[in-house]
Amino acid sequence: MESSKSILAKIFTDYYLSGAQAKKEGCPVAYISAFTPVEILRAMGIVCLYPESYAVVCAASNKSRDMIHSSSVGSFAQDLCSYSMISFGSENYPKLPYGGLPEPDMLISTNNQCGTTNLWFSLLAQKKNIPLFTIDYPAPAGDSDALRCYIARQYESLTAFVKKHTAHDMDYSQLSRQVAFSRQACQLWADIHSLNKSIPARIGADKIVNALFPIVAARGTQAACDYYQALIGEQSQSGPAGSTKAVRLLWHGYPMWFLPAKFPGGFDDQFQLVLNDYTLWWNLNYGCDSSDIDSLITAYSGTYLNWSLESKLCWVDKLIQDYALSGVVIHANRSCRRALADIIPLRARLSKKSIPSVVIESDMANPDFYAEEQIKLRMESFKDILKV
Amino acid sequence: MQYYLGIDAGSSYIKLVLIDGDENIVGRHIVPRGADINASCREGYSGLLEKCRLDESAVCGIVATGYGRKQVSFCEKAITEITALAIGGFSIDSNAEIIIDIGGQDSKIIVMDSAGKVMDFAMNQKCSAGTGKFLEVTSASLGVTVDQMDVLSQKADAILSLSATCTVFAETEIISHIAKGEKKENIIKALIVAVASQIQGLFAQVSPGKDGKILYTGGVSQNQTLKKELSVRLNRDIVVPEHPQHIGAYGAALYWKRNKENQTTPF
Repeated sequence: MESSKSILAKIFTDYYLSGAQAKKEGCPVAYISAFTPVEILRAMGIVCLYPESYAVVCAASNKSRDMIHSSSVGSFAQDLCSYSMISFGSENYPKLPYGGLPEPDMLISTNNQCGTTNLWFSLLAQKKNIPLFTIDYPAPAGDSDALRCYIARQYESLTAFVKKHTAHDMDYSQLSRQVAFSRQACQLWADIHSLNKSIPARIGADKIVNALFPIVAARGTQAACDYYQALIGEQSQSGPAGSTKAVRLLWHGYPMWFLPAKFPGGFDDQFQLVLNDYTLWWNLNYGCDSSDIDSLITAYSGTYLNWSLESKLCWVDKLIQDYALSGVVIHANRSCRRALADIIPLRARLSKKSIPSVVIESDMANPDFYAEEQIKLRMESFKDILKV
Repeated sequence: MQYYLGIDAGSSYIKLVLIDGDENIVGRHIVPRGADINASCREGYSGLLEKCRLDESAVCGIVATGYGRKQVSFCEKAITEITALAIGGFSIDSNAEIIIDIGGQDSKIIVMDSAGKVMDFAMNQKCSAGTGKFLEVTSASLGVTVDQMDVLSQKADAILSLSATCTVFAETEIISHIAKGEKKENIIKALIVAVASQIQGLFAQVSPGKDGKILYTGGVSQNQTLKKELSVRLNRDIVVPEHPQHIGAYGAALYWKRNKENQTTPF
């Protein structure tokens, strides 16, 4: 059986080559936001690329600081989302990782993760003079007929928008395949996290973060499913990833992509990072709906950041129970306003349940906002609380 | 007699406390922090020994805390300010449930249980809003000392609001108020209120009991106007202990003494 490492390398290569190949063959390329219903676009023959994911690659390659500074020179405020700053700063940047993303023919953005993406893509559309389609998800659709109809109508408009600009039609059998693979990949992604429900944990949270790319950028493909199946197989044969005596911790929110380990120091065998809930945000629920479009409505309206505050708090409660967690490190990621707004109620909820927590202020991709000594102090103080 | 030394290597001052085997404070000392933290701590240590007429050989344990704690080369152990303040604060007042500490660089709210164990804490964000540094920098813009700010603020006769909590932006606002002919006293009061507002926000991040006693420590706690403003905003009595700047150093000294004697501490 092919190793997970080898499959992941192929997924990376295929993804970055697909853009260049598409441009060469005259195939339309779209930049899409993270929780766009990519299945619809791929079923219409569009090659989809994720600027947010590319910003992560730039941060992990230690290029984000330069790119953000370059963006600032172009009169952007430092307070903007660092992903968007990297995106703008990567324009005209020499020696881009993977040669950079090719120019898009269209842009698709959604507001089921944040409001910034729409503004960012809107600005990109103006700068590049290309069409933009925006999908609005007011809340998780659930059983609400009105909401489902509202989103379904937007999907129809999206299809018409793509057809208008490419003359491509939807391949419905391709759509079904995509949705089936997405559903399967998300199930496998959930299974990987579930490995850490056992004590000791089976797979490091940092290793899960490093396995994120396929669920983000290759959701809806056979390759993503193959990768996660291989990873689960390998993990089940390897030894535990922690000790039974470890204090089990949750990292709430985004990793810090510019750090080699993606999380600051301070976690070890005694204080183990068992789960990062950000990676679980990608465990989209495609449900068991009667049609592919209905499945997509359920999945993409039900993204974590689109939930109500109470739903988010209940979810964290459940994670603490399911994963037997003893404390929570909360990353106050200054780039993500939507996630920042939840921190005080989350701290209050955890305190009521006598779960210690600590807030670490930094950023997902801008190392200028990473203050190592301050973070160390907070982590050390937090560990003092957790010591029995 | 054996003695134990606690050093709080803060961002503005080095505070030192020496205790004896019965946990009595036998000496306190404070020196400004120089560029070389270790050298400043050494200087403070020598000064304290001289004050107490003791020799280094009488000191059987040294624990450092504070932002420069890891720079202190001659200590046995370094502990965080949160731990040190909780031990020190609880030891001087076992009814204390909350400690508010406003230091030069960090502001902290510490919540303890009835045994003095830290249950929760919150610290200021990366910027200096709500810290002693904020008052230090802004007072310099007004040509007064931090100590003078207290007296002057009590003469304020109008309520000004500062829209910026950022130290740098606040300076700009100060200049603008001065240009408009605003009274210095009113500007100072507005600066103190801005710090209180930051601490109030920090307080909201932890969930202390409704009636717990609050100890207010750190150099800034000597500012009466800020203490009063905090008390009103938090709707609680706030107690400033004697020598509020030395509570962290005292806690550090106690930490070593108690651990050395294998006494159980909640830490």
